[in-house]
Amino acid sequence: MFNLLAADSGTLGYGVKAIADINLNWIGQLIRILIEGIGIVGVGIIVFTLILKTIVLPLDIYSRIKGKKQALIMERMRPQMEKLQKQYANDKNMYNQKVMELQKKSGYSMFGACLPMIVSLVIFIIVFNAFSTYSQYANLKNYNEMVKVYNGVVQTYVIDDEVTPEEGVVPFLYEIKVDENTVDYSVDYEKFTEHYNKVKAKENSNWVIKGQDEVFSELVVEYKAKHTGYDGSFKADVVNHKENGEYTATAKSVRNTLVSYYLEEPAAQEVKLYYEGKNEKYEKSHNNGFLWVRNLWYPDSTLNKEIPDFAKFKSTITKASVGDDYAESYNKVTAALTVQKGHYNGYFILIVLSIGLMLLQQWISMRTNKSVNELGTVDGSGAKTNKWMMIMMPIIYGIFSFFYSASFSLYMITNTVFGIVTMLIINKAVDVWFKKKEAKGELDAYLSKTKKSGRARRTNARR
Amino acid sequence: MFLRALFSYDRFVFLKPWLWLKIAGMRLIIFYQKHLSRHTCLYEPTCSEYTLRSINNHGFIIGVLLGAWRLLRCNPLSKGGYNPAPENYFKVKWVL
Repeated sequence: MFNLLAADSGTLGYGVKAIADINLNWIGQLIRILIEGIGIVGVGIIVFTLILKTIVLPLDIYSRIKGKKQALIMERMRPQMEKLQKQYANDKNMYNQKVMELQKKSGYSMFGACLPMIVSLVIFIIVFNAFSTYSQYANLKNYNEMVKVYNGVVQTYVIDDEVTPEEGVVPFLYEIKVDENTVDYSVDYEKFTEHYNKVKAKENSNWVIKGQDEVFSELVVEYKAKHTGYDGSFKADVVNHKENGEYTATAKSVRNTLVSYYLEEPAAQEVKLYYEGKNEKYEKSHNNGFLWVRNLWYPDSTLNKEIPDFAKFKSTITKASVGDDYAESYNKVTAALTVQKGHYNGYFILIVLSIGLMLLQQWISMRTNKSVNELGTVDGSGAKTNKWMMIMMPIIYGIFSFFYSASFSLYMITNTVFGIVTMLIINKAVDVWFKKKEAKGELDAYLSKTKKSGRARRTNARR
Repeated sequence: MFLRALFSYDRFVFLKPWLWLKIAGMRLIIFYQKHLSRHTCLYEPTCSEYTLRSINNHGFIIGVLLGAWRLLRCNPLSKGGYNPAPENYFKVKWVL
């Protein structure tokens, strides 16, 4: 507190610093437009996910129909396959060869292409990156807005000839431009005394107008009462100390400390009003919460607080250069938000939910492809690999969601629910479609229909 | 005997930095094949096997490019079939 001051010049060294914004890429911009258009962050994220999934839906439908068809063919081959499995239990190569012959006969082809898998992986990485950038952007923007509110309070005390001051306020600060981004203030003690008296007189009609030294002595007492760790290094007599009718440098610096102390409290309270958004002035200014999560841009866990301390804040915003010199600004701005600093940000619910839903999805898709997995190899090791995948992938996603924001968990949940619903619908529709074909007697023809282009024939011939 | 051991391929790879990238890439693909793969591909050999062999034959950079081209070809519109990794006929050796 004390070091903050420029002792000699009488300047205040005041005002808190904003941090430069992060640039968003085009996906980030899309998320921003959606969220700002809708107004509720959580709903914005859900809508974004649904749009994304709808774009990829045709590919999904295609691959699911194909997979279903292959599973059906495999199911029909099952008796023969099992026979082969028994016959060539010790000879893997022979088994594979025989199976291939059988598959060719019944129109079975190796099921999926590789590209869709890569494409979905790339989409996932892009979205993941966009979300982690956007959550940093949102947290930073939130902080910068609070800084704006905080500095707005200080601005009301600045002497400006063009602006008439608010009622009950005597401006007492001179603005000094240090450089493009930094503003310093110097204090007019006379006007400050006038302002102090005016405010006090408004509160208390019996107020006797006090002189400069009396006002500062009073502030020192107030300051001591607030700062329990205060070591007594400035006393009332320092305030009164004069040489040749001028206040000394120490006296000036003490006075500046007191003035900034006087400004701090109302500014922090204004930030609190802004943050809680219950005031008319700041109504609906921001809303980062969703359901039980207080800030969607931090993880949904009890390890995170709604307003974290500076070290945590700094560690979450890695894309902007936040130096340790911002700690003082951060602490000043969030000084009045003590309640929010104690709130847990969430209760792990979204993380657990996303992992559970992903397991469910894996289980359902496993059940549909059961025959394919079981009969893929002699010893059924294909099924084993899938089981490993089935457990591992959700856990990896879960670990991700511990370190990134709750919005990412929300994205995963929406994604999975959409996936499960479309999967069930498509499976049902394909079943009905196949049944209709069977009733007409076209199913066998459809299943054994093998498409062969000239290219495939050529490559086969080369073999 | 010692010199022979020094230049033998598998045991002293760590002394040959120019092979590290190649080996690392191949190890990564083998890990993928063992633990992550779903064993589905339109072509034969599979995309990962193709990439592995092309890295072995042509070095890391060209091998990865060949593998990427193969991955692009392995889409739902293509028909698949037998498509082995190209041989390095002239034994051109790349550093990477």
